[in-house]
Amino acid sequence: MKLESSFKIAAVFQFIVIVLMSVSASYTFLNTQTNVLINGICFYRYLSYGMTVVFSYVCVSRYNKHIALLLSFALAILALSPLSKEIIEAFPTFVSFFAILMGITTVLLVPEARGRGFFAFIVALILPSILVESKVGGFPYFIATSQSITYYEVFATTMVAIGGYFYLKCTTLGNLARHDFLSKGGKENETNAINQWISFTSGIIVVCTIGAVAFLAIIAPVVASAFQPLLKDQPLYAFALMGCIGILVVGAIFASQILTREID
Amino acid sequence: MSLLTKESSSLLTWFGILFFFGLVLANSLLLYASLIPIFIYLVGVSIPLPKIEWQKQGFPGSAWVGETLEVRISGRISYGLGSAIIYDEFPKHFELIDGSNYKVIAKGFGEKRFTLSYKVRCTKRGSYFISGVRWESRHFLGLRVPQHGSSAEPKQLSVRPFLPNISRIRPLRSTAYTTQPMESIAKVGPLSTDFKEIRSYVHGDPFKFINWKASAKAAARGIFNPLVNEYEREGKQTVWIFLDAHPDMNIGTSVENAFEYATQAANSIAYYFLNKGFRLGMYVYNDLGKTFYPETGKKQFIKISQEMLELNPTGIKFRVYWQEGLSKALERNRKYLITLSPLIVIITHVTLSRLSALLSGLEEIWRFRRKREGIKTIIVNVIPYSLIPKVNELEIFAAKMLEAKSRVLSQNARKMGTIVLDWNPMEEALGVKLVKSLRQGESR
Repeated sequence: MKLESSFKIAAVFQFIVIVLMSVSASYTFLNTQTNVLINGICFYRYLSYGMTVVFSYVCVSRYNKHIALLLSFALAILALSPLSKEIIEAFPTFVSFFAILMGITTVLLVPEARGRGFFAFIVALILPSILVESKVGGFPYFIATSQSITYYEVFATTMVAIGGYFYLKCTTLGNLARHDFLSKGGKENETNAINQWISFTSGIIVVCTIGAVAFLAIIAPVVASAFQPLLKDQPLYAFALMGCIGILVVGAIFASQILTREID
Repeated sequence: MSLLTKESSSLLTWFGILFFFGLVLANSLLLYASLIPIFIYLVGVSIPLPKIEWQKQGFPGSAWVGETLEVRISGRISYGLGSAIIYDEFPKHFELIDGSNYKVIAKGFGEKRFTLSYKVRCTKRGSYFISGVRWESRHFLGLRVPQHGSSAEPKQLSVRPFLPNISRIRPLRSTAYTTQPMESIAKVGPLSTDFKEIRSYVHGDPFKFINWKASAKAAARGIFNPLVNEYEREGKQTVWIFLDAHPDMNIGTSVENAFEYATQAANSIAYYFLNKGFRLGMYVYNDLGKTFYPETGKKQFIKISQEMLELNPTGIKFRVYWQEGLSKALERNRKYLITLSPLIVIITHVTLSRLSALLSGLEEIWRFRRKREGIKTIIVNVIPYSLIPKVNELEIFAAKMLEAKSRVLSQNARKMGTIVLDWNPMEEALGVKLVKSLRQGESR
């Protein structure tokens, strides 16, 4: 597959994101546990293993159906073999390998596949880690608990996984647009330029967004702790302040819409 | 049209799912994670679509078949981030020979200028409405609905049949070479002041034309009938073209077929004779009976040429097929043929099934003649078999056989004293063929 230099840079970034996503997801997955155990192993490991079998076929079949079928069969046979307990127990340690394999297949080798299967697989992996912080739920026993990792590690892992998901989604859109233009007779250099812009700009937006979310996550407890006594002592003032902030936000949104319309 | 694109809907759905589960599970991580798609959506949507302005140069109102048009579109893209697609649509009968009429442009943060130049060849005559430049503006993340635009009004382009250069006919020698000498004078019409001859007085001649001096001299010789001066009529002879629009004329491809070459021949002949000052009329038979009344000058040529742009052979789609035949066509124009006694040019394709109709038509022409003084009919037999795409030797052989058969059939018309011009457009240019055929001696 011949790639232009700009396209290569985008591909390298995508690969780094895939590695980051999978490693962080497997790290938190390894350190989360539930009260529901099957054969003494966390319920989520069975769930994720099952999902891996399904999604590995979905992802790799985009590249080659025979290889995908072979991989899925191999994973299923391992789960049913006498070594099943050891395999599933060690699953989080080698799950990164599968994640990278699926990511390479769907995002890098076959961009038209649009990450089908791989994204769902990553969601399945981070599921226990994002449930760690849940306080209530219909099935409290299924809520995961952290064994040795802190709230901030779980938070960072979740942000990397979800932020990476959207980054890859946006860059895949760029790839799709590139293929679309090429199929309609567009020139290679122009479509590469489009792809480069999409990768670059969407990367900036996603990184800035994660930064903004992290900033909010840090200041939210501070604001809440400052706002609570104000609400208790002077409720009217607190409500007026909230109303003013609301008006400002709505005004800003309207202003941006009007400006955008004028430009269009 | 949906207000949200697929990508926007996807981001908003993700926000909804994460936010909902964050609230239900009282999970601050999910709530914060839900901010990522909504932030991406808001930031992405606030970036506008690229705005495109363009200008088109080098587009004429009319062209000849086979002519190459060079089109140049230049413009600029301002505002926003994303991509722009600019394309100039042409009807299917135009062939792109150089460059591209489609361009994709990536728009970054700065203003971008572009030029789009290409060459198209007009392959088929006709009157076309060119929809003009169209553009599409796409958001870089696909979060906004793409905008489409086009030029305000479609432009009309008339593609006229090619006119071969047939002006190099050699001057006449002692005897007229052509069936229709360039000096052929009209037999009807107003009298000019050019003296023609002196003849005997017949009943109805105006007295002012009596040549008294010559009559007196003749009386001395014992001829007592007065003599009158005769003057030439104003204008030249009339030419009448009969163009066949029978479904048999569809042989060939959609771009190159017998009818296309027949209209080209009609156009060229009309141009040639009208340019020489002849009066020219035309009738399209086996169609809806379209008559062009005899006129002279450039205006008549433009009229005929314009009408022929719209002309299509019958039997295509819902066109009515009216098998009129040459005899009926002649009958319909009888009054002109009798009074004007024109040179008749029949442009057709001679086949076995329609040979009898053609021959009966030729017999009809002979009946119209007041004086059988010479050959005044030319048949242009367009042989289209070499225009059909062939895939093997057998098909090439079959085409040659059919061509030979058509040539043999046209001999029947030649035996009736008609000049027959068997024209294979792929082998010989019409101009050369006409020069040869208009020489009486060579054609016989």
